[in-house]
Amino acid sequence: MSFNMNRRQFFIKSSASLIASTTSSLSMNSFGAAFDETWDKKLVDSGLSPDQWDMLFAVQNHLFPSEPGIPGAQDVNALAYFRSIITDPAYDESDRLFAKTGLVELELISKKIAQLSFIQLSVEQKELVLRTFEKQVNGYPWITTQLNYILEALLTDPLYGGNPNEIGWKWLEHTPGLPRPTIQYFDL
Amino acid sequence: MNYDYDVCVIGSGAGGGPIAYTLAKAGYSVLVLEKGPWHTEKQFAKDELASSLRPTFTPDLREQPHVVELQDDDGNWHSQNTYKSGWDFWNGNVVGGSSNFMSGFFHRLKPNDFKLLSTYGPIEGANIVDWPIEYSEMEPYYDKVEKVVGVSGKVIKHPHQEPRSSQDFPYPPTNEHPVSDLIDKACDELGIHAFPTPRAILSQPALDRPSCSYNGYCGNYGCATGAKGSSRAALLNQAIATGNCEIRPNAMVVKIESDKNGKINRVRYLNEVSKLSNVNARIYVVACQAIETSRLLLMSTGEKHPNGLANNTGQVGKNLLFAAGGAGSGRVLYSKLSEPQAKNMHEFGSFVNRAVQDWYQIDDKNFFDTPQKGGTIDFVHLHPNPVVRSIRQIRGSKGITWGAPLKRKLEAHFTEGKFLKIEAFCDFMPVPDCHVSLDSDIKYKWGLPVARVKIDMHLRNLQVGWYLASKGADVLRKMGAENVFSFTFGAPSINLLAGGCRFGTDPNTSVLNPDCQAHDVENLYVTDGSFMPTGGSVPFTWTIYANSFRVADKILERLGGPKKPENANMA
Repeated sequence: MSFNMNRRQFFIKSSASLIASTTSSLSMNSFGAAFDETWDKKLVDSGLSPDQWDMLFAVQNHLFPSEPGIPGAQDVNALAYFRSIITDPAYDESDRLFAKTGLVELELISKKIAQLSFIQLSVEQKELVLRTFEKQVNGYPWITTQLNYILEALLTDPLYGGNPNEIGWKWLEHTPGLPRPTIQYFDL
Repeated sequence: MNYDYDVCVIGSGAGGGPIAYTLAKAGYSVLVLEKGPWHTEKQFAKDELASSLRPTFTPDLREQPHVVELQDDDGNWHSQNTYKSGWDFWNGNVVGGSSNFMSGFFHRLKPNDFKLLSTYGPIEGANIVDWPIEYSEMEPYYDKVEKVVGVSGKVIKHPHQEPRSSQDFPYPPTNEHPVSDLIDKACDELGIHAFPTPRAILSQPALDRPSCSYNGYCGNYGCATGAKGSSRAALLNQAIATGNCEIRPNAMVVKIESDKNGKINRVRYLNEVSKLSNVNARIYVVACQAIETSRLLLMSTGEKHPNGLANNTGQVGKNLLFAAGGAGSGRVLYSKLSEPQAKNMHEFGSFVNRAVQDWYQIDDKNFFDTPQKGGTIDFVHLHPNPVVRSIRQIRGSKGITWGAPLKRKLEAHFTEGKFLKIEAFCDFMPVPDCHVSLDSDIKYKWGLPVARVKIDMHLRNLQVGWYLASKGADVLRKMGAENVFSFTFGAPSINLLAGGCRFGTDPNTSVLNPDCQAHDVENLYVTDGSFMPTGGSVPFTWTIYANSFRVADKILERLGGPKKPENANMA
C-alpha cells in the first residue's frame, strides 16, 4: 500500500513538472533532474539514461506532434506517463529492456543515415529514420508500443497523469463514463 | 458426521450464485469460496485502464497463465503461454465472477437447442448430442431468472420466439438510443423481425437495487449502481442477508480431496495470506467457469480418482465450447442526416437493444439443401473505450500510421459518425481436438499445473457465422450506413466458455448426470457452463443461471427441502 501511495504522489509531482516543462521550454534533462529529487526508491530504475529520455521525448513528439489547438504528446504529459509505466515494478523487465533497446537501435540508424543523433534531426530526417526502423524486426512493435502509451496518456482519466484538463477527450468529443475513478486501478 | 457447512460452493459467478441464493434462503448453511477479492459498486468506476487495459480484476498472467494449443495452416499444433500472447481466458476473478462484467445480452435457448442431433442430424467431425433434458424442464428457471436476477425486455412475436410461461418480461426494456429506430425501419423494409434485446439490467428500481444509470459503459465494466444482474449484486447479497451464507474471498482452491470410497471429504484452499486451509461440507458445488472447473477436477486426484475427480471415463475437459459467429460494423455519417437527426445520434448512454433471430433456423437452399441451425444477430454500439478505439487507428495499409495522418484518422473516427456493430452468435460445434488438460511444464507460482487449452473448430462455425453476419450487414446497408463490412471468425471467444463436463445419461460419454451431479462422485455437482453438451446460438449466461437454479432445487430436494425456521442455521 505504501508503494501505491508513493506512486500516486509521484504521478502528481511528475505531471506538475511536465506541465511546467511544456510551458517554459525546460529541456527534458531539466525534467529528469526534477524527477530525481522526488525519486521514490520503491519505483524501479527505468534503465534509460537522461539522453535517452530526451530522445524518447523527441520520438513521442514526432509520432504525435502538437498542432494549433490540438494536443500532441507533450501536451498530454506522454513522457511522464511513460515514466510511470516503465518504473512500475509490475512492468515486465523484458519490456523495460525492450524500451531501451529500441532507443539504441533507433540512434544507430540515425547515426548511419544522417550522422547525427536523433534529437538533432530535422522533421524530415526523423520521419526517414523512424520509417527505416519500422521495417526492422524490433521497429514495428517498439513504435506501436510507444504509440499505445501516447494514446493512453491522451485518453485515459486525468487521474493517471495524462489528459490534463481532459484535453484529449475534449478534442475527440469523447464522453467519459460516470462515476469517474477516484482511486487508481492498482489501489483497488 | 459433523460438517462445517451444508454446502460448499467453489466459484461465485453465474453458476455459483443461484446455488448459494436458493439454499441459504431455504435455511441451509452455505460457504462460497472465491479466489478473487470482494469488490462492490464503489470500486466499479468507469476507468478504462482498470477495466480493459490492465489485469485489475483478473490474475497477473506471469503468475497464472494458461497454455493454448493452436493449429497452423499446415496442420501443425503449436502451444503458447498466454503470458505475452495478448489474450487469455480470465474474465473476472472477483466475488460475482465474470457476471460483474457481462453486457447482459440475455437470450434463452430454444427447444431445438436441447435436441440438436435429433432435429438437424449429425455433422461429420462434430460430436453433437441431444441434451438429457428438454426445454420444458428449463423454462420455469428461465422465468425465475427474469424475476429474481431481473431481466428487462419486451416480447415481440417473431418466427423463432421460444415458448414462455410468463406473458412478458417483469421489467420494461432499458432506454433505447435513437439509432434503434433506424434499425427498426430498415428491418421492416427488409421484412425481418427486430425485437428488443432482453437485458439482465434493471430498467427501474426493483429487487432492492436501483435502476440503470445509463452512463454508456456497461460491457467489460463492473456496474456502479447494481442494476446489472451480476451474481454478486442480484443473488449473493440476498444470500448473505439470510445469515446462512458466508462468502470467503481470496480463497483459491488447490485441491478437492476424496476418501477411499471416492466421495469428497474436504476442500483445500489458499487463503488471503497464501496459507493452506481446509473446509468440509455435505455437498460440494464447483462453478469456476469451464476451463478452470475442468482444471480443478483434473488436479484433484484421489485413490478412487487417479485421473482426476469425476474423470474415471476420461471425459473431464472434453468437448470444450466457445461462442462461434461473426461480426461486422458500419457507420451512419452525421453529414448524411438532418440536423435534428444528427443531434439525436450524439445521445450517449442508452442502449441499442435490437436483435434478430429470423435465421435461428436457416431454410435457405442456397446455403444448404436441408434446414440448418442458424443463430442470433445482435446490434450494439461500438464500445466507447477511447484508448482501445484509438489504438485501432494506428494500423495502416502501408505500415504504422503516426503524426498528423494519425490525428486526422482519430478525428474522423471519433467525430464524424455513429458506429453500429453486429454480433452474430451460432453454435460452436463440439470437436475432438477442443479440450482442457493439465500442462506438464508450466506451473502457477504455487507449483500448481496450469490449464492447457487445445482449440480446434469446425468449418460449420465459419459457414453459419458468415451467413448471419452478412444478414446483419444487409440491415446496416439498408439503414444507409457507410463502410459496412462483415466477417466470420475462427478465433475462440475468450469470455464465453462452456463444456468440459457434459451432462448426460451415459457415464462413458459424460461427466455429470441430468441433475449435474457427477456420475462417480455422489456429493459433487458442477453448475457453471461446463455442463452444456452444445451451447446454442446465444450467449450462455442466462442458461447458466437457469440451470444453476434448476440444480439448486435438485440439491434442496436431496437435503430434505426448505428447513423449518427452528432448524435453520444448523449445519
